[in-house]
Amino acid sequence: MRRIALFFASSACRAGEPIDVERLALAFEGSVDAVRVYEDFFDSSTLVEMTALVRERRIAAVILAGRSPDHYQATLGGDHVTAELIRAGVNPNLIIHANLAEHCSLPHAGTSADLLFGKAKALTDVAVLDARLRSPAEIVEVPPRRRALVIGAGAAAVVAAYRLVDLGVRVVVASSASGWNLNGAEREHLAPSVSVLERHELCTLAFATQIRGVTGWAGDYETTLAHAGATRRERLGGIIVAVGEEYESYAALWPLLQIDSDREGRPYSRNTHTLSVRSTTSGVAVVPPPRGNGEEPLRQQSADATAAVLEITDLLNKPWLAHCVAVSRVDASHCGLCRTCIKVCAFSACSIDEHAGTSRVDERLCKACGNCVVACPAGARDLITGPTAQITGAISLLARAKLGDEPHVLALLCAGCAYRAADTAAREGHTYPVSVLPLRVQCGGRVDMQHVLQAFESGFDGVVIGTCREGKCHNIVGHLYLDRRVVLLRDLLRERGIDPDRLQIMDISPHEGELCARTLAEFAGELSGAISGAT
Amino acid sequence: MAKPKLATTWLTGCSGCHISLVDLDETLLDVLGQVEITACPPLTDVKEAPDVDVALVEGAVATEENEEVLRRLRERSGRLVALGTCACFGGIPGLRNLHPLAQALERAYVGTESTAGGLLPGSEEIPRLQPFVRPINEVVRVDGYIPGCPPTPKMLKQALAALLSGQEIVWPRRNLCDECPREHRAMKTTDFEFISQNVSSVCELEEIDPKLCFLEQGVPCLGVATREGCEARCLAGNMPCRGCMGPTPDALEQGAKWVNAIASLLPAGTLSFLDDVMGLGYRFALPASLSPHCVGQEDQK
Repeated sequence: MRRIALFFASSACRAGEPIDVERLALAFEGSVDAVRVYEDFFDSSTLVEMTALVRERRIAAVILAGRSPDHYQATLGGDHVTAELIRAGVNPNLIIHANLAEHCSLPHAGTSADLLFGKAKALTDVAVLDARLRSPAEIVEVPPRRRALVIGAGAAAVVAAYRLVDLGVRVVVASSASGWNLNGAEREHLAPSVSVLERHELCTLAFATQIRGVTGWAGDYETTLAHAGATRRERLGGIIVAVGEEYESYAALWPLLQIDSDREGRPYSRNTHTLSVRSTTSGVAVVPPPRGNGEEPLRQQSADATAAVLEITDLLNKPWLAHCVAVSRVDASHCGLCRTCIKVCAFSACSIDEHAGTSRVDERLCKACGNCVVACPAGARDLITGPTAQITGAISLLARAKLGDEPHVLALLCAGCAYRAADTAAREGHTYPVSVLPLRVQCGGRVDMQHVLQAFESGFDGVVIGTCREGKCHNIVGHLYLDRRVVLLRDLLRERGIDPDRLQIMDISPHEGELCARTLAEFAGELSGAISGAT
Repeated sequence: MAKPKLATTWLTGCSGCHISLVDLDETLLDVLGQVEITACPPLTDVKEAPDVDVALVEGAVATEENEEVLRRLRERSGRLVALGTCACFGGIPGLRNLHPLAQALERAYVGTESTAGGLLPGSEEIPRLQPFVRPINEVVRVDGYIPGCPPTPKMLKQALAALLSGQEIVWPRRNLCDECPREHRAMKTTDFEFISQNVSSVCELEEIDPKLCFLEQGVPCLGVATREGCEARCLAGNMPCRGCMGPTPDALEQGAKWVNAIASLLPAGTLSFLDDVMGLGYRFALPASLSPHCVGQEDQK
């Protein structure tokens, strides 16, 4: 039996409406190997205690029942809790989060203590199941390549490239523009830097160049650059996107680099509070365009470009980076070579090994979105970060949660957009009913129609599938295939006498917190109207 | 040593699986040499089979009589095996689960277009239909499965050999594409819209390339979501798979698993031609699916 430790952060449990964390801890006493309640995981004494316990009791899986995973991954220094646990011997794939703050305490102001406890218990149950069922991921140690790609030809690109060569990092500046794209003031102030770049041995300028491919991971990317009909490959450690206000460039780059942007096309960072340049992809920093609030725009650009350089060099200066190979796994004994996986993969990561008689996954291309796992009709694939058995089990657990008479809604939230939108909703103080039960899935394309049927069969009144907006899917085609599957599924629901309106797709972007909460609340309201109307 | 005793029975089915037993041809003589058949509806007129070592059950449980026969046989059998798709997954009779029983009866006996003055059967002599059809493992413990509509003589031979030597019946675990001889062309590369025109109808057989994957031609084929073992005979006859071998081993059910796959294989244009996803995806395995009957039927139980 895998040894599991369950750690609660009581500060997270009273972020909003307080959850009785002592009672919660007591409920899990005996079902896992260690249960502890701490004030906050970031207290230094707590971190020492946690890691000591992990080492002494040879704990294999740790559940952090506190804030959203984003809090421990995408805040300045937030990842040091997980880094310490990994150093203590826990596999990165076996650090599981129960999001008690953003999914329970914060969005349910005024909810009775019992209902709140019921939901917190269900969310923690799901995390415990996850800790039991996930397998450890393979870790590759990547010695980072001290080379970077700067995309853009404007002021931010000049500053970023200059800073990098100055720090001794080899740089390729690539842009579709035919030369530097600087206005009068920028040309005047940046002339010295431009002059250095044009002569520096560490700098390669690649103007009139298209970026055709980006594969690999932080520390070891391979990019394909096309210029005048010829292509060449560059292997490098990190990428800085500095295309400024050319919003169409973000759309053009989207199939290669998924940079979140708002409806105007303006990019925003993974964490706007502390990390203005961090994107959702490790090793890729984005210099935001000038905010246009009257301040000196060049100074802003320069500061942001410098921050992006710091973000990248921070990675490149490490002796090695741990890359968690969280790909889709193939069971050759099930694979019938139907090639469905080849068809669905947006990253061309699947291929057929004729000799071995099975399909294969290219680890450098796979983004672990799970679309092929759902599509694979032979059941030959599974996702290391979110196995099918875990989703099946989680839906059963959530269906049994005791949450009063309100309609039970299962919210399957994609990790790329909808999950973060729900986080935003909670942090911005928006509320929705406690009977909406969230379950994180990798992508809209990971939502299996079998699981939706299972949800209705196990008693959910409604199912919301939260996915990215059109063209914003981090896995390019996840939402597209989700839409198509759902169109067919609605027929199946109707024929079985289940009202297809009990299933809703919520397409949303991470910054749309208010819309997320409103959609969930309205859906629960409609269901409740339909139920009372029917009886 | 006495020969092991074998009994067979049929519940709600079409007797096709028993016919397939006869299709064993001369192999049947070998089988008869190894077992003593105590009861077999097409051969014997035995109401109550004596205790047997192996029982083969064809058909789904659809009536009160089916359930009683099955339970009694279970009590008297060493090993009880589901013979054919209806016994394994509910099969064709299970499609009535989509409608409340009263509605299904009304449609069959009164509402059919050729019926005038139809009456619902009401005699006490006729076994009463249960609200919905179930595979036999929903009623009794089942020790082995021989899927197929009907199972091929080769499968039967293999299964009988395993049963008579006391071993488990083992079937391959892949989907039908593994056995299907048809070629792939478009599915060799990633492309999000690879079928832009063409058919969803199986009636236009002369237009269907007999060597190319049906899905690549826009013809709905269940093979991707169906367990192999039948040797893809339908596909060799230029007929798409309809899924009688049931779901692949790790699928929760066949229909939704098929939907997951074809939504990515067929383009939106072709998908919109699919006007009976239910009938295509669940032709043989609705009673064994996640949601085995229409909602509202439970209330009548």
